[in-house]
Amino acid sequence: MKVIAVHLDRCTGCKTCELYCATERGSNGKTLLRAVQERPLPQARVRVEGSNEVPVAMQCRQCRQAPCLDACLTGALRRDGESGVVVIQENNCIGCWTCTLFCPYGVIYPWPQRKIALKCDRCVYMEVPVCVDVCPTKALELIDVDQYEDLLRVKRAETAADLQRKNRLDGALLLDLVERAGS
Amino acid sequence: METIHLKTVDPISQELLRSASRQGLDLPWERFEKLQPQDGFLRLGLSCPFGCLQGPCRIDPFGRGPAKGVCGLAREEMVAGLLLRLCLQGTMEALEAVPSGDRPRAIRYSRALGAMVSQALAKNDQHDLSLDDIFKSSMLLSRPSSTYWQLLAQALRLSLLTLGFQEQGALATTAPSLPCTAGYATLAGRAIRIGLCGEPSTRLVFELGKEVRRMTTTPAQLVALGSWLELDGRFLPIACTSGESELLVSSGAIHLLVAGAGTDPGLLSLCEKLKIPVVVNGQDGDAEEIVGRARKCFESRSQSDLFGDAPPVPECQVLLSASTIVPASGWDLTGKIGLIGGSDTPQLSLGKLPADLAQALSEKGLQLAGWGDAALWVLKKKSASDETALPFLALANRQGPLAAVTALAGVDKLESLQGICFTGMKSCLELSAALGLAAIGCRVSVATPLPIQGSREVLDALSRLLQQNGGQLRHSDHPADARELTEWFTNP
Ligand code: SF4
Ligand code: SF4
Ligand code: SF4
Repeated sequence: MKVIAVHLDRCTGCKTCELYCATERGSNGKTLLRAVQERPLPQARVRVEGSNEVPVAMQCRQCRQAPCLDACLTGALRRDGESGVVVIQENNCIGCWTCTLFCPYGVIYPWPQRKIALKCDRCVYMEVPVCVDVCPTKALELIDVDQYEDLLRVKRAETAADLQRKNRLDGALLLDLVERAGS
Repeated sequence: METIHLKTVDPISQELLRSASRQGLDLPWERFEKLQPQDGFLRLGLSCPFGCLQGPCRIDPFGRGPAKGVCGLAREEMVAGLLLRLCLQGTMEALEAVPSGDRPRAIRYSRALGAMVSQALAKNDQHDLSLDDIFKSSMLLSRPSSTYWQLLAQALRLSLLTLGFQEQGALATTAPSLPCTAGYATLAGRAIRIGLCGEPSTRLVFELGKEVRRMTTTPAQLVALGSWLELDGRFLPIACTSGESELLVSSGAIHLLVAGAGTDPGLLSLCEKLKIPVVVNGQDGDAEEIVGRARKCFESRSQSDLFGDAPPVPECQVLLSASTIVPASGWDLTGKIGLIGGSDTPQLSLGKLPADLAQALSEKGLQLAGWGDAALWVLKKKSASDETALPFLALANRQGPLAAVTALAGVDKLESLQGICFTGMKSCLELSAALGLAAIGCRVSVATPLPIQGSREVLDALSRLLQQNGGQLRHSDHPADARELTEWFTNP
């Protein structure tokens, strides 16, 4: 199963992902300049939160045990068999927004103007999700969850190499021990 | 590679593109592609343009995020502020072209333009223009405290000022027209070639011209890369349009680049990569030494005649002065006239729109004139096709369509002008001039989207302001094609 990974160190908070998600997935015009003139205004399925120091692009994590799925009263949310992605069938959504209360990340949104809930479906019918395609810093990446372990291994190796380059005391600093010992 | 025909319509340019790609050279198209999508907030005009360090503030076009800047600035004022900022830049560019000895204390218009400007101001209840408008505009842009109406009205004032400066900055020559040759065929044969780009100083062009004429053993030549530069009563041969400049340099046919004001940095780094010497404006040095450097570069290269087979473009006369355009043009003033011009843009396949549009309008019976890169493309097409030559007049690039507009107004025949189309824009000067022409009552169309799409209210207010004097500035949310622009020209 593939999900969108967010490289926190690369996100600049430019919100390009938001603009183009709303345009490509939410508008009829399909170009940004047209989309902004449409009513109701198109909505993005990814939101950039956080602060200037740490901007974070957030979209549905496609949970393996998805609380939104269990919460949905009408069965409008379902898991796509092939991709494993949680999708919303808009025709069945009654806009009760129960799902939005259950999502631990707050990434399924009420859309009052259209009386439906809105969530990222990882652009499952497209080759590459729009946000991944447009992110200027490649902060978003489509990865297979089975590659998580590989990714983490790389991260561990990088950290170990980093520590080796510095001396051991820096390693202790990293864990915030020296200062505490001194205080 | 499969998209090469989408980048330019010129077969020689397409060949050069292939060769540049084999060499792994980074050209404007690749850079444009890598920049996709360009900053959406800026493209919409929703990134604050005021001179303030509390930002950067941006307004969410889709209404879920911020609707105001830190200071409370709203979306309409942000968009109108950007238009004013761009027009201010354009006005300064137009002022820069006015010879410094002539830099005005008050603005002097020709009789025809003066009357049109006065009428435009009167229709919008505006007082006379003065140089203080420049200062006032910068102050308006320092902190946001005006309404979008005020910002738009000021942008229109600046655009009228731009027209005045453009008129005063016209080429200082008494000749009604100057001959000009263009296209890759100007590079046929072996020669040491000095390419001039942007706006190099007149003195340097003159000195280089003198030096080049002295070269007898190996011929040497000055060629302009997309620039319209006068020397000895004619324009320097224009080897390529501005959008093709890097392409031409990548071919190795240029042995030294004179980078005048306004030269793109991409061209400079390309020269550095290809070890082509560059002379930067203001650091000119001695003409003899410059030509010597070009010769050294020439001698170090293999000297194939790359452009020997390029189709020749017939020499044309570029019309310069408003007072002589009407008699020289041979226009039937009871018929319809259309003006097309402007710069190359990577948003559209180079040359396609100007050539297609000129063809379509000519078939509809319009008499045509044009300026800038667009005019070069139409001239190139004239040579490439076997069809009966497309009637088309070239206008001096400095003034663009303004000279033709004032010429028609001077003989009271402005109603024969169906429209003015900018097929592409590169500088703020072009935007400000387009707005100015619309403000004096012309129908103006811009083929590429302007960065003011973020507020419907501002777009509507601008149209209403222009309509009060019968003018129109058509632009849209997508790069336009020849079909829709032909429609626009023929259905006022
Ligand atoms: S487009 Fe990329 S860098 Fe910009 S906010 Fe989204 S994730 Fe971050
Ligand atoms: S919407 Fe929320 S709860 Fe549902 S799958 Fe996505 S992250 Fe999980
Ligand atoms: S002028 Fe206002 S909106 Fe603009 S950057 Fe400053 S605080 Fe933000």
